[in-house]
Amino acid sequence: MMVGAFIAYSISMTFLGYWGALLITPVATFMLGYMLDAGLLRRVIGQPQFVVVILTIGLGLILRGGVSMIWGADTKNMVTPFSINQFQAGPIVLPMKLVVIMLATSILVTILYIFFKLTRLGIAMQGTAENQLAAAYVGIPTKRIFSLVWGLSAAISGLAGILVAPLILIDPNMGLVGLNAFAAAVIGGFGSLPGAAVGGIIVGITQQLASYYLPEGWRESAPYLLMLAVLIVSKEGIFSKRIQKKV
Amino acid sequence: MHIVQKKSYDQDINLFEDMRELATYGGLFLCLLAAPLVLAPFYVKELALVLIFTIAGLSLMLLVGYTGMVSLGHGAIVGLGAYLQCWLLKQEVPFLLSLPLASLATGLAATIVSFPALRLSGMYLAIATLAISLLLTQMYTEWTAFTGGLQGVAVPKPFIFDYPLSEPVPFYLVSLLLTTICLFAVKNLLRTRTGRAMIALRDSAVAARSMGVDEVRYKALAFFASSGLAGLSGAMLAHYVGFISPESFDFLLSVKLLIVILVGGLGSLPGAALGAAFVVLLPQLTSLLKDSFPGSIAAQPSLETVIFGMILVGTIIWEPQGIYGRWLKIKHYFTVFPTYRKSTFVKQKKFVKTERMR
Amino acid sequence: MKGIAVENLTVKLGGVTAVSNLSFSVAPGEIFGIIGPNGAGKTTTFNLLSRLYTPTSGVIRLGEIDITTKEAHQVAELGLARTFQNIELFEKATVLQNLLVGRHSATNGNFWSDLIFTQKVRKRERENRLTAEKVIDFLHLESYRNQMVDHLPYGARKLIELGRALCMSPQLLLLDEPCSGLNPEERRDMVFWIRDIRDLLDITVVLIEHDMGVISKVCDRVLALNNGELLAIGKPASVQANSRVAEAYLGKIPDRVSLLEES
Repeated sequence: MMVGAFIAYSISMTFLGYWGALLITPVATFMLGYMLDAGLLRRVIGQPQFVVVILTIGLGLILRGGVSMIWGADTKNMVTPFSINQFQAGPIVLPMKLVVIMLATSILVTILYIFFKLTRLGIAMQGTAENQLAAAYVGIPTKRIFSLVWGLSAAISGLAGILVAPLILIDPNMGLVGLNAFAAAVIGGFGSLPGAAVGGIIVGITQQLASYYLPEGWRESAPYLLMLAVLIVSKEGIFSKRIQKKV
Repeated sequence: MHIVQKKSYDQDINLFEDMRELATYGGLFLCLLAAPLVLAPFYVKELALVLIFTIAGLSLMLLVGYTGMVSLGHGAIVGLGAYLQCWLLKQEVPFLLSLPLASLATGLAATIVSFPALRLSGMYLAIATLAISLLLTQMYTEWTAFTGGLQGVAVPKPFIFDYPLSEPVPFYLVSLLLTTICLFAVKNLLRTRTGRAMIALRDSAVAARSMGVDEVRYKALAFFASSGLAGLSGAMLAHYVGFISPESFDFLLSVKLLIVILVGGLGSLPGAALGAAFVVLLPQLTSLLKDSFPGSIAAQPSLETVIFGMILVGTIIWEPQGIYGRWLKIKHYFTVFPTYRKSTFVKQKKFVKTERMR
Repeated sequence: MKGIAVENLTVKLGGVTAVSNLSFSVAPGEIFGIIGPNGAGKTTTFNLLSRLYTPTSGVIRLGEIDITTKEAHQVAELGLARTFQNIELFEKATVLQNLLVGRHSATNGNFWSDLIFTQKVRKRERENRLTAEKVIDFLHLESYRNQMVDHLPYGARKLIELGRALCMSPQLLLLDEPCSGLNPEERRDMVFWIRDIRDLLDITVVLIEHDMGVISKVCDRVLALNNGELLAIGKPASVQANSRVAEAYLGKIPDRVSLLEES
């Protein structure tokens, strides 16, 4: 996401402007994701999960350091066509950039839902995720699918970077907001899409309440405390969908 | 090739298989003991840091390498030990008492805080530990009465019965003693029922449960032992650096610890020591390499981040068994010379099923 | 030796009723077989008995004790051991270490005494090793003792699973398809071993098997399952002759006859 934001920033400074950035960045990050998988992640296919986790941490460090070196470590602001406007619906007044984010997210989620449910490629991706061996047997090019998934994920992250950049400003550590997503996933329950959405809303509300009632600094940590509390009560979160391993 | 003849069960139960192994490690210990006689004080202090990182490496190795639970936040737990030690010393608790207390308290506190997350597994546990480390760092920043906040706090100098430990040589000797005790303790765990239960949980939680291993209890125990060791290393680290602040125990420290166990060799005890040596020597290596880099890159502060990242990625892709693994391969090469075959070490690829079916 | 009994056991997994209103009991000292076509719910029943799954309703009793709500490790401590259809060995450990883990439920231990390795701990380790060696002797696993499990052939790994379960010194042993993947000679050996386990080691045995020859040679009574329901229960000969059981495996008799008529 961070790389996407930086790339978009640079593109938006050129003649292509914001809309150019919006179009080109997801493509660029898609290629980055695809190449990362094809080049590096494919080589660690057989190994246990946490190895991949550590690999991605390493990659994250390289990307963060690399971005610092190329763009400099100071925070940057991205200018969008919506930075200034406001949106008014009755008594509610919202900054335009927030509205744009909400709109874009809804459109994106819908597109992705349709993609995964109805298109061949989407179903192939799900199948590969569930059982690589079986997918390979029925003729799905699993290695290519994985790279495509990484590319797709990177593209969406890049897009997210563009959307959120006006909100949280661009700097190499902006990616850490992604951790909130984990708290949201835990609270809402893994394996359940409506759960993730509910979790996200709860996290957002918690942050706002925390910044209002608790001293400075707790805003970021409050969702994690809530996450721990939810874990104490139930392993699975509110709406989870986990099936027992068949032995 | 050295073949060990087994004549009694005790040979398998003991710490060392035979006199040869005992002599090897005993000799190593004596060399380390004599190191202050041959090395300059600066290097003695560096060696002490290697020992401290070995203890920290052991703590993470126990958790990740032997119990299969990933922690991305061990840096914060090390920090907890450091702050506890500092606070205890300020309360006039003698050093000999504050060290074990800090270690135990870290073990207890970290386990209690992380307990809800321990039932998660794999990647989810990893991210949860990251979140918890953020919470801990938050606490270090906010709880100024205990920690001195963002500005940090100076660590009181250590004394054993009025004998100052702040000189390199006594500090080094104490570190050596502690590391030896920790290695002994971890080796004991691993050759007994508790350690076997942890390894069982790593390889197959289902089978372990069917054998009577209480998953919750042993995961908590593993985390407790690991955090205790991390706390001990944190306490010693505090004395080494002299001044601690929340920044000293950030994510980068957690990454360094991961490098220790990965580069050293996951799932082996010598790996912790080898990895620790690597991580401590790394800054010297990078400063040497800096001279060969073009000026603009070398001047960047984030070069360290990039290098750490590259080491992690490189180790996983090319040498997943770390330095110790490479050492075993080399030994194997000489043992079977000239019949060495590269395919001996080619790993079988396993196809992974989704974690949703757990 | 302990027996095990279930009453009205039902479990729903992911929308499918895998086991439905199952009731049977195994007497202490019996060798009890469970047969049925694939997907009948046999392994699911085992998972329920060893408490890896939780029943939706029903009662499970091990000996006199109600274990319906107990945890898997508690049930192991009460003397129930099992093997797995797809072999759940500890891959990154030696055979000996696998067997020694089996001793976990039969011994006591304590984190702190393990940490400092007291004399008591040493004594216990020697005893564990002795028991493991007895099992190795019983199953002829001597040559595999110090080898890593992931290098070994399938037949050996099945035996090691069995050995690990025996190391638990259990009162009741659940064997999930002990003969699958074994050649005829190995199967004959397995028959002898199962009998010896009951006769010499005083362990009640419940086994899932597809090989009818093994079932008839070794079992005192047999239970036939299909679609999670009990089809028949009784002596091997009578269950195998049971028409409903034949139907489950071979299909309805009218179907076969009409097929012949058409050709």
